[in-house]
Formats: sequence, C-alpha cells, structure tokens
Amino acid sequence: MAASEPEPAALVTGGALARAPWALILVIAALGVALRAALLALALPIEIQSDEANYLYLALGLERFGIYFDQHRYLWPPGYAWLLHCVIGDGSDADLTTFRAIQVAASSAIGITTMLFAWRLFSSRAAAVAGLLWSVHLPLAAFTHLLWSETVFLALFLPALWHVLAALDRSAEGDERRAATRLLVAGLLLGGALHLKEAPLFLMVPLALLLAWRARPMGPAATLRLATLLPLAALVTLLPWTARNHEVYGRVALSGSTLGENVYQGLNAHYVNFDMVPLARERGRRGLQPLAEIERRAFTAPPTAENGAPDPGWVRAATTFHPIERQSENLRRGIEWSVDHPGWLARTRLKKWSDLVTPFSFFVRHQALGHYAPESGLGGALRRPLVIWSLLSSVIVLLGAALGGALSVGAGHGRALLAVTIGYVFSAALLVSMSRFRVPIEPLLIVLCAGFLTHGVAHRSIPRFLFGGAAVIALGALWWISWPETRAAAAMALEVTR
Amino acid sequence: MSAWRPHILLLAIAGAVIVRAAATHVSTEEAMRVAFDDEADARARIESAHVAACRATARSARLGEDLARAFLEAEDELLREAAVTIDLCRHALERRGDRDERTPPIQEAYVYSPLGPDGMTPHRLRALVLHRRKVGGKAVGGIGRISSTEADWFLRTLRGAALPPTQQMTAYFQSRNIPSRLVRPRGR
Repeated sequence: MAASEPEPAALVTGGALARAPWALILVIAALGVALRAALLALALPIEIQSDEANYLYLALGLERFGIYFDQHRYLWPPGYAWLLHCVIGDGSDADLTTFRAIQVAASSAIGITTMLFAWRLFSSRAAAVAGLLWSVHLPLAAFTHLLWSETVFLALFLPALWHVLAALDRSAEGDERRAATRLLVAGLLLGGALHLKEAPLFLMVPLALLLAWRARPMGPAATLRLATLLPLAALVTLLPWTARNHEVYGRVALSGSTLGENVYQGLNAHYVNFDMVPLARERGRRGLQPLAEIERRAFTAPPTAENGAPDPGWVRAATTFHPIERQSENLRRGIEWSVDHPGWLARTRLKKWSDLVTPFSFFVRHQALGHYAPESGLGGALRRPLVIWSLLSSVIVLLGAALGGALSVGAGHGRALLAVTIGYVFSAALLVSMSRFRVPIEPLLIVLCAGFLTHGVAHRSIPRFLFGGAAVIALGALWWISWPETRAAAAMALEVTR
Repeated sequence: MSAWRPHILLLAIAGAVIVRAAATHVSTEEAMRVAFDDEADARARIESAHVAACRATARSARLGEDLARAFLEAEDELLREAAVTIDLCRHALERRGDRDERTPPIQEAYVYSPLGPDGMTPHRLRALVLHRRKVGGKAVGGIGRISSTEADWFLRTLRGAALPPTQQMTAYFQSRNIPSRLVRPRGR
C-alpha cells in the first residue's frame, strides 16, 4: 500500500459530479445490488422478528384505520410503517418479499453515494474499492432483506450527506447559489430520513455549524443563509408530521419521541446491549452459560447501593400517563441517577462504545438465533462461511477506517464532514448502543477503509501517526471489553442448534 | 433579496402548514363529542377517539370504559376493532399498586367471548390480532408479536379472501401462546 497522490477527484471544482467515474460506479452498484438480490433469494423463507413485527403491526393499523398508533413506551417516526403499508396494501401474498426487493433496489443509492464519497475524498481507485467493499459487506447488505428501516433510511441519509459535502465544495468556491441548491436537496433528503429515524435530528446542529464555519469568507449574510438552509429545509419537510403530532398529542414531537425510553435503557443500573438481549434468552433456552456470567462485569455491573447490594436503578415513569410527557420524566430520572453514579457512568460508557464497534452484526445475530431457516441458503450450507466473512468484514472495515481516517484522508471539509457525522454517532451511542446503531456511518467507514487500502499512508506527520496508533489501540481495547460475549455469540452463530 | 429566496419559500410552506393545522384543529371536547356520536361516520369517530385518547394526561374511564363499550356494541366492525387498539386499551387499564393491570378487561372479554356458529370470522380474527399483537406488549394487553402468517390472514380478511378453517387458526394461535378456545382468561 504505497502512498500515492490523490487523483484530481479530491481537488475538483465546479462540475465535479459530471467527472465522477460514473460507468465504474454504476457497474459496481449493479454488482452490489445483484449480490443483495442473491442474498434475499438465499434468505427466503424468513420469518419476521421483533421490531420487524412491530412495523408490520403498525402498517396493518394504517391499512385498517388510516391511523398511525404509538408504541406505548415511545413514538417511532412513521415512515417505515407507512412504506410497508403502501406495499402490503396491494394484497399480494408475496408483499413482504416485494418490499424486501424494493429495499434491495434502494440500496443502490447507498452504494453509489459510498463510491462518490470515496471518489471525492480519495480517487477513482478508492471509489472502486469502496464499491466492492460495500458490495460484499454483509453487516450492511443483510439489512436489505430484513424489515428494519436501516436500508431505506441510509438511502436518504447518505445522499443527504453527499449533498452537504457538495454544498461545502460550492461554498469554498464562493458559489452561494449552487451551494444553496445542494443544501435544499440535502435538507429535503434529511427530512425524509427523519421520517424513518429520529437519531440524526440533532446532527443538523453540528452540520449547520460546520457550514457556517466554512462559509465565513463569504460574509456574515451568506454564512447565515447557508448555515440555516439545511435545518430549515429538513424541518419544513418534517413539519406536516410534527403538526400531526401536535394535533394528536397536544405536544411537540418533531420526528418521534423515543429519548425517554432510551434513557431508561441506557442510563440505568441494568446494562442493556440490544444485540445480546434475545441471545441471552436463547442461551437460556438452549441451556448455555448465561451471558451475564461471561461478560466482563467491570463494564456492566450496576453500582453498589448504600446497603451493599447492587443498586436496582430507577423505574419508568409509569404514572405519567401521556406518552410524550413520560419521555421527559424518564429523561429527568435518568440524568439524576447518572449524576449520582459518575463512576458507573464512565465504565459503562466504555462498554457502549465497545458495543458500537463490535464485529458483531444483525446478520450474525440472526444466525446465532437460528432465524434463517435451515432449508434456506443462508441458514444451510452457507451459514458458517458467511458468518465468518461477516465478522471478518467488520474487522477489516473498522481497522481500515481507523487507519484511513488518521493516515489517508486529506484535510478539508470532506474530512470535517465525516468527523462530525462519525463523532455524532459515537456521541449518541453513549446513551444506547448496539451494532445496528453503527449502520448510519458504516458506508463512511467503508470509504475511509477504501482510502487506506488504496492510498495507505498518504499523509505523514507525527500527530497523524499518533492519532492512528491511538485509534487502533482504542479499537483493540474496545473489542477486548466485549470479546467474551462476542465470542460466545459468534459461536452460537457458527454452531447453532435449533 | 433573491439570495434569501429558498428561505422565504420554505418559510412560506411552513406558514401554510401551520395555518392549515390551526384551521383544522379540533378541540378535545369536540373530539369527545364526535367519538360518542352514534350518528357520526365510523372513521370520524375513530379518529376523534384517537385524538382524545392520545391527548389525555390521565386515565379516563370515559374513554377506556364508556367509549370502549359504545364501540364494542356498535354494528360497524371497524368501530368494534378500534375498541381493542392501544388508544382505548390504555385507558381501560386499572392500576394495581405500582403496576398496570395486565389486560384491559372490557376488550379482553370481547376478544375472548365464545365464538359463534360461524367460527373465526374475519372480524374476530382482526380483533384478536389487533388486541393481542399490539406494539407496547403486556402493558397494553398484547401477547407476543405478530407473525407474517397472522398478518397475511389479516390482509386476506380486508380483501375478502377466504381464511383457513377455524380449527387451523385457533391451533396456530395456541401454538403462539394465545388461548385457542377463545374463552375468557383465568380470573375473569
């Protein structure tokens, strides 16, 4: 991996998009989509699980009553259930397979944007490598045949980020009009993504600050215009749904209302990694050693109460009847409890990051739980090699991203955008965490990995080497924290007995 | 000024959305009136019940018991099914100490009443699925999550397609922890 100069892609101006290697990008995107279609065929027949069933129930509610019901403990954004409702409304027995196939097709937007990022930040060669990595990255690809909202969300969110980057480029050229057009598109896409997931709601703040910082040379008025356009467009896109929430609940809920429940799960004595919750039950069913006995308790154990017993934590605000009011009461309780237990908070937050960067994934989890039928391709002969590849793929992408972020990517607003987005996801993971919560940045990690694989140590400096070394050591330490349960869960995936 | 055009356009759209929302706002009193109005359209009653139930800041026996009964006694199957959704079930739950009652009694009695001579009718199937598979789980009367088979049956009823025999359906529900004979649960 010799260092090499970035191709002109990283230095483009004006009509940059037209000069992207579109033929290459489209061919690789088609390959990735074809592989996902094959995965779908190999996954069938597949029964829906946990949140998938909840989305389907909500879609049936829309179908029967035209009403989107809340979920008692939280209010999810409506987009995914609504999309499901649009498809199952056709009434065909193959509806769910049709919906999965739509997701497979939608994933092309993710692949194309991943390659555009790699081309913009590195080179056409990096774009090709990023595209190939994206094509075979099972932790991401598997979501196309699962009924979780990740694929549709990313198909909106990632292009939104791409247009923000394009706006930063235009802004750097002093072309405010074209920057504004890009931000308008980015805002609409981000608003669409917020109909599927509430998570990136507050990302608009650091993005607006980044836009403002980069637009400074254009003067205060232009800076204000560009910094406000993205959040304004996104919020206006959300506004009809927000207005509906205000009418129905009499409270403001911009996208969804999930924070309080997440605080209950994330800032409470009982440590929860949602990857492992069903696995813990399944291990009990199979008579395997409980995960609680395997995990490194120093990072998960509850604090000790005054009487020497484990602190039981706090209970949900069940007496607060209103579903949205309850969220703020849970938030208050969680913060109060966490402030009282700073030591516990610090050690368990390390575990949160460990859960975020785990090589584990929903694909491996599904295999560990035996969710792929033995008669299906994925649950049969291909199970073991694909589980091994899925784990390896994550290791390669995460390690490559750590090194690429430190040593390969050049300075500039492309790097700043990735840093802000990745940093945001790491910040959010301090509350609740699991492998699925890494999905929004998985394509960006692929981009950085591809940059490292193609350009190696393109930027040599002591701070960069120190940062790269620290990132790899931190990654290794975080893997070590969760290694016992990751190994146990991976073993279940490899040796599953039904 | 033209540089501000996107902002102005977006703010104008926002203004229009807000004005429309204000113009179509329904007071809680009006929502309650429509929900209880036997003469009103079924969908309007359900939407009004949804609004009144979601806005409430405390359990309302008027919603959880009176309106639930009114819906369950209605001719319209849509209204009867709306009575077992989360909106009214949440209001039907009594608190016992620190915990909510596990099942909303009125809805439970309806869903588990003996099947008629027609067996598992489309309406009974939908009511059972809506009640027992609701998101929110035990806290609002649910048991487990919906399966694709149940969703398929549910959709078949909506498009008028034939259902499997009652025995097959009840056996399936029993295998997924829903009492198959559809008798009232223990203690009721």
